[in-house]
Amino acid sequence: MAGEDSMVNVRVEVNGVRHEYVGQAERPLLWFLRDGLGLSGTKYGCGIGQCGACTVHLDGQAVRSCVVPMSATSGRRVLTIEGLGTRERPHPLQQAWLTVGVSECGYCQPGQIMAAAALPPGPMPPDALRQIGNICRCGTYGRIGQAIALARAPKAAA
Amino acid sequence: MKLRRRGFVCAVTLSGLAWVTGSARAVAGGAGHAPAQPAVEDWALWLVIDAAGGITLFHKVTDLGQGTPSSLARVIAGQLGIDPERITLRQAPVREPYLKADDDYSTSGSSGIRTSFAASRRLGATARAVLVQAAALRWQVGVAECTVRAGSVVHEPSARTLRFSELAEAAASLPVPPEVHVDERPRPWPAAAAGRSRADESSLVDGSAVFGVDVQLPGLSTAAIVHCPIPGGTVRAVDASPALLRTGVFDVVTLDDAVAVVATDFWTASDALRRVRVEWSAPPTLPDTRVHRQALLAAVGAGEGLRSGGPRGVGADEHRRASEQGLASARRRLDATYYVPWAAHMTMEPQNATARVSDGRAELWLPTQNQALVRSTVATQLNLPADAVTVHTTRAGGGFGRRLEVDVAREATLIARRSGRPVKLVWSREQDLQNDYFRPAAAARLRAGLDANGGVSSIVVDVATPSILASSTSSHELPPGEPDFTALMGLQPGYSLPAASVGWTRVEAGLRSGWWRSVGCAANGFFLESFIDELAATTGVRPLACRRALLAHDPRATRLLQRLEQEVEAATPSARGWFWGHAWFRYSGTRVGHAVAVSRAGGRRIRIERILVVVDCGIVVDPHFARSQVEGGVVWGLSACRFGAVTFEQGRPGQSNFHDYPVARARHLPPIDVFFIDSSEEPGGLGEESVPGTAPALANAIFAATGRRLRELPFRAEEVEFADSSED
Repeated sequence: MAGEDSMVNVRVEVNGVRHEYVGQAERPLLWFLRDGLGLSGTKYGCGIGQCGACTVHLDGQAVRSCVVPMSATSGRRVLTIEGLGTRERPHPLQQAWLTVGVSECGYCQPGQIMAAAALPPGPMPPDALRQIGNICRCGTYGRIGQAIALARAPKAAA
Repeated sequence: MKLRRRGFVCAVTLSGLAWVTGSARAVAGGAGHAPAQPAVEDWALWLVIDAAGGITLFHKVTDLGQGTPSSLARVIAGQLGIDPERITLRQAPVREPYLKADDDYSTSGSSGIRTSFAASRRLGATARAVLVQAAALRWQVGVAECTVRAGSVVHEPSARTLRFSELAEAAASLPVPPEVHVDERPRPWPAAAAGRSRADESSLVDGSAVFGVDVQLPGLSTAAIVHCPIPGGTVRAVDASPALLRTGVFDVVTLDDAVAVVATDFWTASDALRRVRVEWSAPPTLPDTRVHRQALLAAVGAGEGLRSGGPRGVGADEHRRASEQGLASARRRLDATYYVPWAAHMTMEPQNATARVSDGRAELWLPTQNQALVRSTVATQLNLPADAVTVHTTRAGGGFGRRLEVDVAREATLIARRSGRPVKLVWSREQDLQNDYFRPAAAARLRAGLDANGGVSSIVVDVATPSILASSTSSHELPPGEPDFTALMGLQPGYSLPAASVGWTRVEAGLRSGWWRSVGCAANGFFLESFIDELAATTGVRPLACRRALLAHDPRATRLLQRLEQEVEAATPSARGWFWGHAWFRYSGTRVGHAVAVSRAGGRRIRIERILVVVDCGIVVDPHFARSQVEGGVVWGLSACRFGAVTFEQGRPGQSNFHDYPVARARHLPPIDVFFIDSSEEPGGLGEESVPGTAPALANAIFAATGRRLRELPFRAEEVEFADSSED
């Protein structure tokens, strides 16, 4: 190990499970999740916080995990797509994604869903898609908007 | 995949399902409404009905998001009278008997449905016929007395039922009838329940889908790579020691034009790679896109390219002379030069491949559109027989033509062999962008001569591009003395105009060219459909009326443009201020009409208000995926209008990631409405068809709003700025 690297010992909760990370401070959360914990639903798309494929929640806020160093996660709660819902009991957004049939290739969708799940509660904000701002190269934006609206619609109307 | 001169038509018949053995023969049927068609003899290879009642379809087309395997399952289910969701989809193994020839396993050219629709119908009909036969034999009744219903064969007179699973074994051993009756109703299958089109859809929303970057194997290491920053350059010297000191680093592998670090995981490998000191040798000529642009424009100005086109029996050079004379003697002339730059694919999942090489065998896991070529390439590389190479297709995070190339598979194989361990090679986004097989830049000069009545008397088109065929890993060399057909794609969209004299000049830039969603049509659609608008403006005819007149001989085009006009009227608000632009395109059996509305937002600013697309693709096999493909093509086309330009200056790349190579996000998009013409014609393609018309329809709308004719992509800020659709 090269001497200039700063090492950290971080306790972080991921999807309700406590983990200990010992390693370089600057390792991005994305790569701890993917390669350290095997949670590969969080995707690498750009590495510079631009595309949003790696979006997870940090203490309830949507963050782009490719630019969050492990040193910034100490004592915090992380939620990934794997912890949002299960196949048997999907999160309302996941269910809406299935009902609308949002996905094409699907690579960006975990990030889109996590970003949508962090929007403030209540009626669909008119600029929801702008707030999310994640890239989808297949061009599924229209259906992403439909799915968010569906998930937020009053249950009687759904 | 080997792309031959016969060109795209040939190249695109390769994908989908391999039982395509000829076009469906319509023979007068003996019983009832359905004509008889040749049966599919090896049906049980593709459609496996197990004893537990499961039905599995083996397919060769890769699902890149377009949903083709599911759509084909729907077609087969229609013939079998079952719910499409009962069919499980599996990628066919990349070997015999599924792989019949070395080049028949690829996904390209919007061909998945188009080339396999008829064969899929026959496959389902054949399976139905032998299942019915098996039941009739067991019951000792006539075949005509039996029907299929919900996964069973039913004998109504005796109220007996046998499930397909109970008949499968007997059916598989029966001789296949030479002809089967195909249910030719356009959609004998239930309407798609929205969003339930793919059985494994939920894996895409819960994070469990396994893309290439997610592959796991025992003892797998991960490699990060850096290529020479100047395309065409090579490695001169490497000092790997600082990287090798790091915990978790196994190896540093030097390739001809790249250096890779093999480590426990991607971030360790990437971090170590930054510490490797590499000296590069620059290529003799440094790629420079500005210089190349000038060369392209000079070439179309000179008009001395390889000639083609013209009426039958008239030589291309002779036709050029006649066309030039026609221009010279014309009452009026139109002369316009256009340009599109280099563009990148930017698939959301960066290029990657996993390779395990051992004991005279190789195994690869990767998102690919070109399985057969991966297999033969790796076999050649390792000097192994082809059947010693196994290729596993993972989910693909987009393809758009980029995954027809086998460069990454080749690198992963080499790194795995050199390092002696299984390796997952993952390119960073920067590497993915800078080492793309780009959509090549293209320039075109279009000239038309008009007679006294405003009719077109003569057309000359000169195009200059690099050659995709000569560059792509998925093609043969460019045939000597012939134009690269990809450069001329889309120049014949079916107008009743004098035959154009076409010239093509190959102008290389030292960059790699490849297949980019809609290939040459992306440039040529912009050129031609903008030029048609210029023609209309010159003659004072409304652009849509001009197109209708030029397509009056094509009833499907006429119906489509009428529908487009109706939809434009219905969409236009009563308040004034929207300006519409249109485009027409015909490609791979599909006809497309675009209408784009813009409004002025002050100064050079315009706002895109609405996009309407009317599509006649024949039978719409799966409305959900069909609509998604058309919308996606429009978004793709809009990206290229507003942002997409790759530049190199004196060899140095000008872009590295999404911050300096932006693509369309939700805020850039207006509402997009897609309308399909109801049709019972054979299906055409849909994956690329809505791309070419998007840029010209927008450019034509901007002309209508501002009087500015934009002849270059992306539209430059000096010409026009965009107010985002959600801005006030």
